[in-house]
Amino acid sequence: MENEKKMITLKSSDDVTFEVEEAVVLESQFLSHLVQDCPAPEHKIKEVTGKILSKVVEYCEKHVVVVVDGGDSSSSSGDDLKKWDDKFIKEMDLSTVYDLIAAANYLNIQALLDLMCQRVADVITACKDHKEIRETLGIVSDYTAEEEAEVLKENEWAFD
Amino acid sequence: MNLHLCNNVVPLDLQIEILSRLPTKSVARFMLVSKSWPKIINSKSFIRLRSLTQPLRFLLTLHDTDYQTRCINCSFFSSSSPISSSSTSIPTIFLSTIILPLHESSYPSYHVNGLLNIGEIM
Repeated sequence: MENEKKMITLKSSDDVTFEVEEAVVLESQFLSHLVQDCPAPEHKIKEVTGKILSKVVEYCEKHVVVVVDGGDSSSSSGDDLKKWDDKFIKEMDLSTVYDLIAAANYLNIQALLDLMCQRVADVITACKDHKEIRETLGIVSDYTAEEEAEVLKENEWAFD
Repeated sequence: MNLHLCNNVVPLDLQIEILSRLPTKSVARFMLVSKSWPKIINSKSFIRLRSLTQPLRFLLTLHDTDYQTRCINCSFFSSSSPISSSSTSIPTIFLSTIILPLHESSYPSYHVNGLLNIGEIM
């Protein structure tokens, strides 16, 4: 049996190319359909930039499960993978996280989407109050002082 | 940073996805962030998603009728950690006691989506 791995080239919106194994591409629901439906050697992904696509490829390469003889999985063990995930997100700024959320959603990579959404949720949870969230996420409040006082009163129980 | 959670760069369904992962107390506290947050937090899809992603908890109520003072003492307990199907015992914490006046007719009680109705308080 031919053991050579099938390679596929992905091209980002800004024409950065990535050569990856087919198994890596299959981590994305969107790309696996694309590869099946049009078996071209190169696929352009107009919605994702090179910077973000490199992160997506890095993630998928780490997470790809290679099935070897006997059905054993030779992917990294769960704990190692989790440690890798933690390091992967800690090195990222929030704007990259948002871009990755959009990319993971578009490419339909559920595990990456979950990881990134959880990251934003953790950042929000770490904020001590709504003012810090606004600052961290760059949100401008559209409440008037009166409205703010009213919402505060309704949800007083959560502030002790 | 030019991407914000609120200016629709992150699509609404993904904003809901993110906010559904927050602990309950944080959710209530963060109503104040901006007007779109309570809109998301009070939306049906948020509540539905949250019931899927949050661990199951149970609420236990013990009634005790005191005919001398003509009161009903309702004591509420909740599981203190997520319930797993494999364990046979569940650690429980005491929440609070509510004292209701005793009525001739019994209190009807209903529950829906984690809200509890224990009847009218006169």
